[in-house]
Amino acid sequence: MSGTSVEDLKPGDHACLTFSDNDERLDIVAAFVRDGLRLGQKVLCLTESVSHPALADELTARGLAIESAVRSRQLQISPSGLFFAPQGTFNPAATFDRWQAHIDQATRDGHGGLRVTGDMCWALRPITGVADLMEYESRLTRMLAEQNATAACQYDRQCFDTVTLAAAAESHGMNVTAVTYHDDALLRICRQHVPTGVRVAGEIDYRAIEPLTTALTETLALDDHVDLNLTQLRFMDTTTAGVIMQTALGLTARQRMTVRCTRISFDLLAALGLKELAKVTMTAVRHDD
Amino acid sequence: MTTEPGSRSRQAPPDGLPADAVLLLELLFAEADLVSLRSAVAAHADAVGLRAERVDALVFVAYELATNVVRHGGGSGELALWAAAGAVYCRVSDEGPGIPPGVDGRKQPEPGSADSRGLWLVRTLADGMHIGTRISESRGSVVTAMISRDR
Repeated sequence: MSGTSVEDLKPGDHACLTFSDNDERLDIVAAFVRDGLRLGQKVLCLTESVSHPALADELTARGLAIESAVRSRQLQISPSGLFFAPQGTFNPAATFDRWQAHIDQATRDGHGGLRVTGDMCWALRPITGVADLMEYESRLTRMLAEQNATAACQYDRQCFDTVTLAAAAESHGMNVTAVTYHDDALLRICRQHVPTGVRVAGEIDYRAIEPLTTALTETLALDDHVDLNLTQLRFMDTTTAGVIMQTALGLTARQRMTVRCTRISFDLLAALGLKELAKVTMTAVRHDD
Repeated sequence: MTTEPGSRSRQAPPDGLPADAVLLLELLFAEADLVSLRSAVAAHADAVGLRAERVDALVFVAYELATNVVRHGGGSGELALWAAAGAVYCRVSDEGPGIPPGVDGRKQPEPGSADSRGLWLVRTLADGMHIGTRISESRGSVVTAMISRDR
């Protein structure tokens, strides 16, 4: 089972969404929600690790009109635990009934289908019935295949053990992950969906300049507004700063670039003249932002 | 020699450093050591109370000087970190061909130009930088950068 981009999900799909950190999760969830709202679907966000207000704030910060979508009831944000284990017990049959009720309600309300993403970390708690989770996921794959509904179940790679993650990947119809240009213990370079651009996290030096160059070349080819998210990048060297400078110099007349980074990266890029370029906006964030 | 962060050596500081400077870290490096060099410098600078933003600057400076040695200065060298009351000093030496005359990082490179970018950035982030040669040897260079505690 190969990876699928969140933007390629369609009705009938049941995806296992895995991610390496919260920023990456929020980016993929934002793309999932954005596409659902655009398509006129009813969107249900089941959240747990991220609080309801924090999720609304994060999605709003990524440019989504969350407040109006909630007001018009096209978007609903609610706790995962209430959906999957409302009485503290996971009952697959009752959960399927809830799925069908939401799908039917979305149709009755005139939405173009149902789209649900759920944080599955409730299943890390010692809840009765959770042993049946993977059997439930397999059945849900078969059920959704015949419905006007799309689901993306969020499994945090930092929290679930590898056996559960392998079982989750197997029981879903597809696996959604970030489009990754480089991934090792030190550095992760991903395509960012919302806002469009590239996210670089960890530490980077000249030895990883090739995947960075590929990622930046692709975003220059695809995006009118390039968001370069370096907020989780702890270290960059001169070669990296130079490649970012070259990318900015390669922006066409209609393109703009935003660089969000830590203070040290800000100082390095500013010293090379990035701040002086009219098409570039730079923002420094604190270490713990 | 590597030391535990927080431990101090009584070795006398070399010429050009304040008399109260104590040796924090001394290590030999080659390309494979560049990542661990960063974390070692950060740990030692943090242990002597350097502010987080200045630790980041010091790590960049140490790494860039070491990388210059790895890529242009013969492939391997030695890094020493000294702490004094007002600043932390990073001294990187090698036995390579030496830094060419006129390359001193004093002039901002043209946007997009790769010339002397590393030394320019080191000079911008550090509060002082001195480029010298190894005493009584015909080869190699010694670069000392200072990161002030107060900036």
